[in-house]
Amino acid sequence: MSKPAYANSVFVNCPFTSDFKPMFRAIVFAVMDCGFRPRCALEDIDGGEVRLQKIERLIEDCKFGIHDLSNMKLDPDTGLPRFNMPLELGLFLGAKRYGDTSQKSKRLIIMDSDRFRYQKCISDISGQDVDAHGGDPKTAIRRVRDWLSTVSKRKSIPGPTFMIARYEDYDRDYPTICSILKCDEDEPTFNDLLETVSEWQKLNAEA
Amino acid sequence: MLGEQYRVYYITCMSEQSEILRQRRKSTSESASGRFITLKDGRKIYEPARGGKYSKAEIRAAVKQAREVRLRAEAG
Repeated sequence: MSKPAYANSVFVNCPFTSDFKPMFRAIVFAVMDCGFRPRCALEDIDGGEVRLQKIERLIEDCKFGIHDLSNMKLDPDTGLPRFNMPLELGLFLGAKRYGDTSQKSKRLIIMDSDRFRYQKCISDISGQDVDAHGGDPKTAIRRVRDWLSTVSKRKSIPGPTFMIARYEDYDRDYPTICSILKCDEDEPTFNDLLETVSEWQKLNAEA
Repeated sequence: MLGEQYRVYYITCMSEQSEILRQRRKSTSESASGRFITLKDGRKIYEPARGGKYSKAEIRAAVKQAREVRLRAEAG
């Protein structure tokens, strides 16, 4: 992957369940409004690729990583926790620790609903800053925006109030967009979601 | 003398051809993964290469229509 693509790519590690969709949309919006490309396992690049290989490749291709552990809880059906998010966080940390110079430049943010909850289940990441969003999409936008602004050192990233106001407009439009497309709000694919944000940004850019 | 001129000419041609091929490979890979465009307000944003289930045109029209609905509601 070329250097500009690597430096503009953000790996989004979070659950893809229905209850997390509003938060997922908010994170994707924030990444795109900061001028970056969100990437995640839902990208449909190669259907034949083994899922873990796809995740490894995505992690390798992204300088930045957003890891949301807030959905790390017991599944009511199986009574077991879902470990995909901590696994992908571990892969990202491993790439940063053992990779080449470019991989070592990786930056990540760990988010959770509560700032200290991780200490009870993955205490080995103590020392990493964990940002709490309290399950609120607007707080998540602020966290992602502030983090990307700091680690990328880009001056072009809009302020949090401006970005949240834009997200509120997008969030108001989203159900209508889905209704016009004749689908449920959960139905658009990841690529469709990126497309709605991109088109929305173009249409709502201030001259 | 002529041999030396031909050698320089050959190297120049091959270098240019390699650069063209390199650029072509780069633009193909960039177009498959999307590109970065500049908005009216000067900010650069990511534009995906294609939609998923819906076409770009369908999504563009839906976004435009939804915006009009919102603006009409806001205007009362």
